[in-house]
Amino acid sequence: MTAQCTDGWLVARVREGDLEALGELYKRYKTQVYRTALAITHDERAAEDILQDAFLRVYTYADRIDETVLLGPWLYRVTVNLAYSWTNRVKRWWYSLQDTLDRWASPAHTYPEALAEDEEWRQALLQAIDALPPGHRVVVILHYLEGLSLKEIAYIVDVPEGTVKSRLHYARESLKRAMLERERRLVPEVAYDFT
Amino acid sequence: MTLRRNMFDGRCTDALDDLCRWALCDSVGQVQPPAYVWEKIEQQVQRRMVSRPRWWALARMWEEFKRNVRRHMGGLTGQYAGYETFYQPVIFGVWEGSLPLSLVYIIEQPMPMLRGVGWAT
Repeated sequence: MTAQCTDGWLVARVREGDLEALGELYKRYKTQVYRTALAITHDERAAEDILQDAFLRVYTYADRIDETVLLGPWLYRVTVNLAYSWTNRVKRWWYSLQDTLDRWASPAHTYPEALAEDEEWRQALLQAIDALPPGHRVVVILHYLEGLSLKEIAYIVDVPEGTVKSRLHYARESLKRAMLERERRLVPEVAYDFT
Repeated sequence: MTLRRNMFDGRCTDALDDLCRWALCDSVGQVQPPAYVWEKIEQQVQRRMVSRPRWWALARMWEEFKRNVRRHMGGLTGQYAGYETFYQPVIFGVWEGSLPLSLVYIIEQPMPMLRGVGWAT
């Protein structure tokens, strides 16, 4: 099955029970789906389950998928919903946050200084992203990791475009505050004593 | 670090965007799902395919029945000529919504009509 086939054509083939067509769609979208799921859940097993579920849904609901548009947004929507359900179901928010805090608390002495600093920044920012409310977090992940437009995100999370814009704005403000706060903690004001 | 602090102070508004992109991409940007995920999907789909023909056969029978009814009603003449407009919406409108009611309507159909669609002898 060639890569030139459109998503719509492949979905139509899946409707007829063509497993090869499903395999081609899987090849096209597996990375995005897995990456998004992993970014939300921080759990490899959960991300694998979500990836599996998402493609089983493509097979099950192939007759309801609009074949005139790309499959990507529909798949993202399913992925985000499955990831939401997973996090709500097992309340892993706290576990993943705890993991991040543990990692953050452990010394990064195995890295050279510059790398360790970068790693600290990365961890701090990821921790700040994790601390965002779920709705804001998903918008940040879809926007920055997947590079999706506000309109695409609005379709995926099923809210108006204005809401996505405002969520992104508040998320950015919140991240900025968190990083500035961290910076202040790490580099306290130097008190000069001239006496 | 000072450079970064300047970024967050708002002097460089795109820097936070860049940092977010970098942090997220660095964290999960290169990940790939393990190969066994597709194998699991394949197995599940194949399992479903085995059980699917039964449902497909039922669905095909139902479609065939509807086609027969329509064909039969379209060809009604004489005293039953008016039934086409009267019964067709009843059968397809109600049957698909509620089985018990639909059965009542089937029983109410004149015998020749049921014979015509193969539901009576």
